[in-house]
Amino acid sequence: MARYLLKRILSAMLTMFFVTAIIYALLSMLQGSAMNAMGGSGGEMTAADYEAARRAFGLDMPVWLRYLHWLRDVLRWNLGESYRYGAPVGEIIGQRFFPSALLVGSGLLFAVLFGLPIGVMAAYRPGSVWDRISSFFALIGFTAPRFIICIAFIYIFSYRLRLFPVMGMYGNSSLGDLVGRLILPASIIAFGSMGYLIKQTRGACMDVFQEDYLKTARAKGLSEPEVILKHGVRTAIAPIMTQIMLEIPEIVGGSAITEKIFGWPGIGALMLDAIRNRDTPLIMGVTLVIAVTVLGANILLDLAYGLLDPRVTSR
Amino acid sequence: MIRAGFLKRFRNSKTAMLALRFLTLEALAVYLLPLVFHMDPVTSDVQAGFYAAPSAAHLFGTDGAARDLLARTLCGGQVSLLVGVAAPLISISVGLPLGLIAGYYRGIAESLVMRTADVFMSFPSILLSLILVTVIGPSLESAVAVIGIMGWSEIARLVYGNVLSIREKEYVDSALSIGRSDFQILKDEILPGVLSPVFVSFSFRSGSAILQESGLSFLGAGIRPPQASWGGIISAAQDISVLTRMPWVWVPSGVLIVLTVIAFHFVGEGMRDALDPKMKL
Repeated sequence: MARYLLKRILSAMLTMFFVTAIIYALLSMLQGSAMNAMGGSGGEMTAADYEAARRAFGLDMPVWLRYLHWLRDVLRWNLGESYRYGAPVGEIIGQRFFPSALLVGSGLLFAVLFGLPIGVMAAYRPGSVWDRISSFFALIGFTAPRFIICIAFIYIFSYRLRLFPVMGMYGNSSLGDLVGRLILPASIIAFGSMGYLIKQTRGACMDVFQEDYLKTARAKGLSEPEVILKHGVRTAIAPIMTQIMLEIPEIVGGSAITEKIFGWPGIGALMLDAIRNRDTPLIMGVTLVIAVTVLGANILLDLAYGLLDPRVTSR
Repeated sequence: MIRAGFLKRFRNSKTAMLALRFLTLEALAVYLLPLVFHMDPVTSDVQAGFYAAPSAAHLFGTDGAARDLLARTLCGGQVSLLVGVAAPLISISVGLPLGLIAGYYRGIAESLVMRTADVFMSFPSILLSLILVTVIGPSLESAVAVIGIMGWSEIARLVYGNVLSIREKEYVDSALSIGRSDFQILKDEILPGVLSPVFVSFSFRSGSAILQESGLSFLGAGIRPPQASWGGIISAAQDISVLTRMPWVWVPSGVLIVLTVIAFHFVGEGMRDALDPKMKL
């Protein structure tokens, strides 16, 4: 198990190295991004000033060397300074991390709380009402763009029905207010990821429900809920978690758009702004945080397999 | 590749046929109507006003620059359908050969291609596309290229998985034993078995390409005004007063995106069921 874990962590670090290197190389092609992001038009600069500024930012070095410098600084816990805000990147991201974790976490929780039971019911009674609900959600999940769901939800629930406030995270700083502001964007994140979750749950449970050991469990005289939950669903968890793992990058990407539309002060919205401002150090910082989150979540889910699936005891 | 009876089975699927009819009708409408009625999607009609409500002169109303929204919606449809066809073609022309090579030769080629695919799949595609488009410069061409290239990894994975199982078949062994070259085996024995799933995934990829283009254009990084696109039209709804009080601006494009993507999805499902219902896609 320890060896397996070590192997997973090493391969995740390799992937992280490539993700950051590719994005670093791409960003280096943005000419003069530092000057633009600082708000200077560059028009008043002499050629000498320009060169001096380039040197000050280290832009006169070759790309691969700059990347290695960046990597060295990261290992020293230093993500550099944002071109746009002049503040340390780590600090900016630190302020944005909790809102994102809260939003994506509650979204995923909603998705699992609603998606899993719907998927299990659909697999238990194919063709039933649950099955139709499940295929409806799956279809919406596959086909409706996130920004359209956001706009439609705001129009219906905030404007027409006046159920929730729309913008931002902080109103009168009471807990009730925060929850009210959280529900709509979190259910949109849940809505977006629930389709895949339901489809995968249904498929995995359909496979497991045909296994002989469920008949054995019934023959032993276990009650139907016990058979389904303890012996059926527990075995189906592994393939479901694989699906969640594959979806994590898309959930993060989708939450960026949700955060932007709702004015939620999270990492995703920060990334969209950073890209628009061509704020290279900030983009790299967020890239690193997203890559660490995605790969870390993968490893954690992978480890949880062993605990949840009785067939996997050691690898 | 297309076995006899494929068309018959496809025609038997009511939803797939309905979806196909919808897409055909839509293609005809978005390409022909603007020509027939000499619609102008770029000129402002200042007299009609900005964000004018639907009227006889402007059936869908006007946008924030007083441009006719019906014309813009139709021209946005041209963009979406173009992206839906061109981007998957790019994904396939990159992903198919790489997947074939990785699955057939294994070894270094396999780890190189599949690890790169892992890298692509471990980062949110919308953010990576956004960075790519920002670097290249936003335009229709760059949106198509970026979305097409971003889709390579899923195709490569699909092809790779299928090649692995076909490679174990006896007819590949016998082709090897009579001394046929790798290229001939890939072309004659392996490619035909891989094409069906790729063919089916084309339709699914069309739908997701349209989703991605609309997302990029919504964020102002895909198709840029004055050129029309559905995502671009809807981005006006980021203004809360447009969102709440002028639904005619964003509802038609929103409904059309969803319907178009659903239609591609159903066509894909129909093709899958007609070719091989057990295919996992």
